[in-house]
Amino acid sequence: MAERVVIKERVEVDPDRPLPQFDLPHAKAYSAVARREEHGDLVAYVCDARIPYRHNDIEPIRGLSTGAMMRFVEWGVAAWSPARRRLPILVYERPQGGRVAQAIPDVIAPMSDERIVRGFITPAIATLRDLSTRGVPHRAMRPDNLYFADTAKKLVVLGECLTAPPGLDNPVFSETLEQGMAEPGARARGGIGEDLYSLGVCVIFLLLGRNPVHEMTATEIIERKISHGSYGALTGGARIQMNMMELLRGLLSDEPRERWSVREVELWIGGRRLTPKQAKLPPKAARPMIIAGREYENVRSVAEALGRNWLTAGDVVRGHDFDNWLRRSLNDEKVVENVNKVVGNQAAIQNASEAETPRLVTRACMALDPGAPIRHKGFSAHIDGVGAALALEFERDEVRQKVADFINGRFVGLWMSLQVRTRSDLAELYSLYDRLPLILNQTGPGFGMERVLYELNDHIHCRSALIEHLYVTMIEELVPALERVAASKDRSGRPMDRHIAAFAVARSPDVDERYVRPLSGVDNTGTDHILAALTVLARVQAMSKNGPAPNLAAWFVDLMKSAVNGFHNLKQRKAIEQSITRAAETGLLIELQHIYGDSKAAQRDQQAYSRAQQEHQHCGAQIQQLNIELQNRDHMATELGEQVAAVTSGVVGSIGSTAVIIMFML
Amino acid sequence: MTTTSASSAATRTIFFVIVAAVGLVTLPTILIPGVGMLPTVGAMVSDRRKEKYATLCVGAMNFTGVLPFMITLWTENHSYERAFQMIADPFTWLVMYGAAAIGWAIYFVAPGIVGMFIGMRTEQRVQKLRRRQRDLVEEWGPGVAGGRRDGEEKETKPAGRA
Repeated sequence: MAERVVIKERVEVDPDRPLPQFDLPHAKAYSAVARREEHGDLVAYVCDARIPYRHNDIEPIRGLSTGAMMRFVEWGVAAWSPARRRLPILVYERPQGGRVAQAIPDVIAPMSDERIVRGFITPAIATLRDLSTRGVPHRAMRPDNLYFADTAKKLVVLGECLTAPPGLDNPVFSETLEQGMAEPGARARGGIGEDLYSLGVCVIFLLLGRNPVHEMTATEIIERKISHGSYGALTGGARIQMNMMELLRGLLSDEPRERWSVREVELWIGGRRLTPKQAKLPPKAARPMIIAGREYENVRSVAEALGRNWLTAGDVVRGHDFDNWLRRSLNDEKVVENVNKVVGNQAAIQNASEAETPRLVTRACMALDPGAPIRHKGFSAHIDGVGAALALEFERDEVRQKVADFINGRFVGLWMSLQVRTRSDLAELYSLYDRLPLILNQTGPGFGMERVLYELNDHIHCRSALIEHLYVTMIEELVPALERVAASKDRSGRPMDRHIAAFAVARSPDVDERYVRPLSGVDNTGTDHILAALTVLARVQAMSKNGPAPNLAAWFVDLMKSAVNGFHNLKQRKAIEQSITRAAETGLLIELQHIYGDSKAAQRDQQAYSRAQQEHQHCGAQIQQLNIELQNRDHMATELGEQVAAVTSGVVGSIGSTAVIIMFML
Repeated sequence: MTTTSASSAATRTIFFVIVAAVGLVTLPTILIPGVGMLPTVGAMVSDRRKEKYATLCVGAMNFTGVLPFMITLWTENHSYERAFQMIADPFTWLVMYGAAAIGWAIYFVAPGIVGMFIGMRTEQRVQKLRRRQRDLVEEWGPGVAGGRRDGEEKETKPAGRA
C-alpha cells in the first residue's frame, strides 16, 4: 500500500485509488481529499513526465470563479511512489456527473438546443470570457473533455487544460484549420478565437450526440474543412436547427476575423437572431493545380498539399506551370505579391540551387497560406509550438533533425512579415529564433539541441538522466537535486552532462556561455572537464544561494583526485588534500573551485618539479663522476702523493737546515 | 756559427778552471757531501720521472743530514784530516744516511696518506649528494628520479590542475 502524497499541506492524493474514468491522454487520475478546506471529492492528475504542463497558466486559473470548468484546487511537484520519481500533480474538484463522452467515437443521447444553451454554452462563454481576461486560453476543449457537473447531468463543464500543451490532445476536427494543420505537439498557444471554435465543435457533438467525422483521417478532415468550410465539414450534412446553425456558422468560421467573439455569442444567447452567415470558402482557381497526382483547386489546399508532399513539391514550385497557375488561374494579387516577396520571381526560383529546394517549398507554402503553420521537410509547426513538439519527442533523432532544420531555415522573420495581424508576443519569439541557429550549431555542452529545448520551453524540467526523476524545473533546484543524487550510493559518472549544462545556461542569467565553453574541450575525460563542470555548478550554487552541498562536493573531490595526484610536490599535495577536505566539508563548491582552479599553483609546481628533476639528474652525474674518481684514487694518490712528499721534504729539510745553522751560530 | 762554438768552448773552459780552483781550495768541504749525498745521487738515478719528486724528497732531507758536518768542518778545522776523521765516524754516516732514509720514507708514505684523504673527501661528497637526492625524492616523489610516480598510471593527465 503506497503512502499518500501530500501537496502543499492542503491535499492528500491516494496512489492506491486510481480514477480511470477521469484519465486524460497524458495524465492519470487519482482520488484525492482536501486536508482542511471544504471541498467535494477531488481528482488529482499525475502528469506525464515527457509532456510539458502549462506551468505559467496555473496561477491565473487558480482564482477562476465561474463554474463552467473543473475548479482548480492545488498543484505541486511531489514524489510519486508508483513511478518512483517526482512528478507534477494538479488537483481539481471532481465533477459529480462523470464524463459526457468517454471517447471521441462515442455516441451519446443528443441534447436539446435549450439544454445545450442553458447547461453548456451560457456558463462556458462566461468561463471563456474570464479566461480571456486572464490571458489564458483553454485549448483543451473537445467532446471527451466535457463533464457533467452534477449527478442530474444538467450542467456541462469544461475539463482541465493544464496537464498538456495547448491543443496537444485535441483531435483535428476540434481545432481550427490553422491549428489542425500543425502537428499536434506543435500547435500554437492560440487564444479565445481557437476556444470559441472548439466550443462550436463541442456544441455539434452535444447536439447530434455523435461526431460525424470521427472516422475520417486528419488529412481528410483538413481537406474537407478547406473545401467545404468547417461548418459543412463538421456537421456532415446533419440537420441543424436554424437558430443553432447561426451560432455554429459564427463559431466555426474559418476566417478568424469573421469568427464570432464572446460578445456576439452573448448577444445570441440574449436572443438576438440574424440570418446565418454563409461559409466563406477560399476562391477556386480557374483550373486545378496537380500535386502528387491529385488536383487542388484553391490556394490553401495547394499550400497544404505542397507541405505534405514536400519531397516532390520542389519540382512543382520550380515548374513553369506553378507560376502560370499563380498568375493566371488563381487571380489573387495578394498571393502573387506574397510569393514575389518571400520566394522571388520565376528566374530566382529557377536559379536556386537544388539544396535550397526544401526551403523554397517552405517559403512557397508560407506565401500561399500565411495563416497556416510553417511547413518544412514534413514538419508543420507554429512558431510558439516548436518547443512543445521538441519536448514531447526529444529522444527521437528524426524529430530533433526536423526541429534543427526548421530553426536553421530562419523562416520566422519571413513568416512574420506575411502576417496580417501583428502580435506583441511574437517579437520576443522572433529575437529568440534569431539567436537559436547560433546556439544550435555549436556542438559543445551548453549548446546544441538540448539548449534549444530549454530556450523554447520556459518551464520544462531538466532531462538529464542523472536528475530527470527529480523533476528539476528551476535553476535553484539544480544543485540540491545533484546533492541528492550525490548522497545516494551510486556516484557513477559525473554531475554534469549536456542537459545540465544547457539547463544551467538557459535558466540562469548568472551562468553565461563563458562558463560552459570549457566543457567543450576535446578531452572529456580529463580533469579540465571536471573543473569546468565544477565551475558551472559552483556559480549556480553561489548565485542561487542554495546552501551547502557536502555530498556533491565529495563527489567532485573523488573525481578530481587525479588532479591532486598530478601535483608533484608531496608536501604541497598533502597540504592541498587537507584544504580540499576542509572545503568539501563546508559543502561550498566555490571553495573547491578556488583550490582546483588555481592554475598558477600548478604552474609553479610544474616549474619547481622540472628544476628538481634537473637537480636530481645533476647530483646523479656528480656521484657518477666521484665514483669514477674513487676508482682512480690510487693513481691520483700516487700523482699527488709524490708532490706532497716533495713539498713536505722540502719544507722539513728547510726548517731542519735553518735550525742546524742557527744552532751552530749560537 | 764557428764564432758561437768557439765562444761556448771558451766559456766552458773558464768555468772548469774556476771550479777546479775552488775545488782545490774547498776540497775538504766537498768530500763530506760527496760521500754524504750518495743516497740523493742514487735517488736521482732511480727516479724515472721528469719532475724528479723522489730526488727532491730524498735530497732535501739528505742535505739536512749532511749540513751539520759541513758546518762543523768549517767552524773547527777545515782540513783533509778532519774531513776524513768525520767520514770515518759511523755516527756521521748514520745521521746523513738516516736523514736520506727519512726522505725516502716520506716519499713512500705520502701517496698512501694522500689516497686515504682523497677517498674520505670523495666519500663525503658522494654522501652529501645522495642525501640531497633523497631529500628531492622525499619532497617530489620517485618521479623526480625518473621513476613511476604514485598513482601515475591512473592519471589521465600527468600534471593536472589543482
